[in-house]
Amino acid sequence: VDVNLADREALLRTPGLGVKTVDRLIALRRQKRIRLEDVQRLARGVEATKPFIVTDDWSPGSLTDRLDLRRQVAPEQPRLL
Amino acid sequence: VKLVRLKSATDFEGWRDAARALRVQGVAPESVVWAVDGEGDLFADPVEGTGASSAVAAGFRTPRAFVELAQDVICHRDPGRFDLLYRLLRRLEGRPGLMLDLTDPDVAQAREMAKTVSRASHKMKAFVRFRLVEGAEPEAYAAWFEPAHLVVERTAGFFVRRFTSMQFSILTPDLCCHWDGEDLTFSPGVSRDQAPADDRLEDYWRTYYASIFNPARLKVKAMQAEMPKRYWRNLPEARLIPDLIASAGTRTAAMVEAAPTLPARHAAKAVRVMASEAPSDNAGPDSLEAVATGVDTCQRCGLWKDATQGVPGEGPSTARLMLVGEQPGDQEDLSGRPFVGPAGDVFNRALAAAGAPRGEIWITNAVKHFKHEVRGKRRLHKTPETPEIVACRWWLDHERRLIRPKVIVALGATAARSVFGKVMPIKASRGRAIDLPDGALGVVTYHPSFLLRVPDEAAKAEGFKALVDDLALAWRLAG
Repeated sequence: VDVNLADREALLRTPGLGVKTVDRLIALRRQKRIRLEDVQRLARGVEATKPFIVTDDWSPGSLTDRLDLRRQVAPEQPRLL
Repeated sequence: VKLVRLKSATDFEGWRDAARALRVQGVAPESVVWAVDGEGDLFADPVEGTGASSAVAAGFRTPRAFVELAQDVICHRDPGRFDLLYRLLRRLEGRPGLMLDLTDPDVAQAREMAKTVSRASHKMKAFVRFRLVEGAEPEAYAAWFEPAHLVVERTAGFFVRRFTSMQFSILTPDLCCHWDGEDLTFSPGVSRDQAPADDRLEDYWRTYYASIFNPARLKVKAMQAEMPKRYWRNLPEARLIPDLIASAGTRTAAMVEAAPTLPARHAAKAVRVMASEAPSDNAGPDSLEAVATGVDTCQRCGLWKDATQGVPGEGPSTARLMLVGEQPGDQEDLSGRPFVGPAGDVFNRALAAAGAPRGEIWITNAVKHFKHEVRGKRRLHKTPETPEIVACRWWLDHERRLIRPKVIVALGATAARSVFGKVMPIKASRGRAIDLPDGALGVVTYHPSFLLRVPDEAAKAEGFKALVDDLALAWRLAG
């Protein structure tokens, strides 16, 4: 997802971006081109989001196609009992 | 290098005045030194506030968001706050939308500082503890508080609104505020030894605090997030907290151990019903009248709740033949007698055809209460289920014990299930006598109401004939 171009729905589907962050990103797009650092500041951590977004200074390259992608980005499931 | 002296650490007006003057002169943020009165840079050039008028003349405008943010940020303890604000002010000239750029380092820092300040202000509202000043006339209160940031001025209004009728002083190391019922005044900060001593009310407060503490709901992390340790020093109740936390585990275990043995009031009804449902086999009825009254008040299963009354058996106590139906129907439930409804008509016709007089036969049901489902104004029959049959079998067994019939006829599957204690296929078992463990003979046949539901006239006639044959067989066996 290109953070500078994507619509709200596409951003909301991106792992690691919640409603609040997406609304802030969209507001920020009116001010300036978004860089990875901006996403990092707004989302408080960017590791889960990185493989799925493109910004002016960031492209995930082959990161998206890694076989262990889910393990890298999925939040750890809470262990019940 | 320009030196600006501010009157106090939270002198927003002074800062604004100086900032306007510096901006008119075009002084770069790096070459300004900000100092609060009493401290300063020996080598700097003092600036006099020439501010407001010249700035207005120069047509400067600043976004409202910046001014509001600056009023919060100036209450922060960080000595670099004046610098940060002036730098932001200068950057706003080139970029009017800067305040909306939340990821800009300066904006982000300023917002973070404002947030910290508002949190400190909130904590001050929560953690100031007033103490009665001994011997003051009229009654006056004083509190000692150490705020995380310079929030006394901006928070004093809250206490004035909250405790308008009370005379109080809040003493802090930065600034003290005093309310005499009419005016709010401020004085310089004092040291900790000026703090008021404990008062007699504090023991009550600690007792109350300890008693409302619920050891079973202990969440240390959440508590310390809301009540940071830096404030504990001045909270009278805080000295109880370590003990309360330490003893929570054993107190919870003790609470579990001492769980109440009496049922809660809302459970009383359920307990009563369960007690009455418990079989009390040693106290069986000793007469058929006792069976009749017992059936009416029976709560061995849940069917009593919706039925009008229990329907006991009827007939002579010396009967040699016992007929067991399924359960009372709508009419039976209302009249309290077995086999009086539409099925009763079929039943009477069959008895007459078989030559068996109804007056000499004990007629009863496997289940004594009417199980039904209300649909509109009608109560529709529902077949009783195994638990209900088993529960009611207790009554049938007592009827059998008291009457000792020679022959027992089970009308339909439910009755057969109750009489024989197991599921009997009607069609395969009917038409012959089967020995029962108590010495009587059992006969299985169709239920009269089953014949009412057979759509085909020929099959209905055939079924009726089978019923009559079985009843005649039973009557003959009963002698």
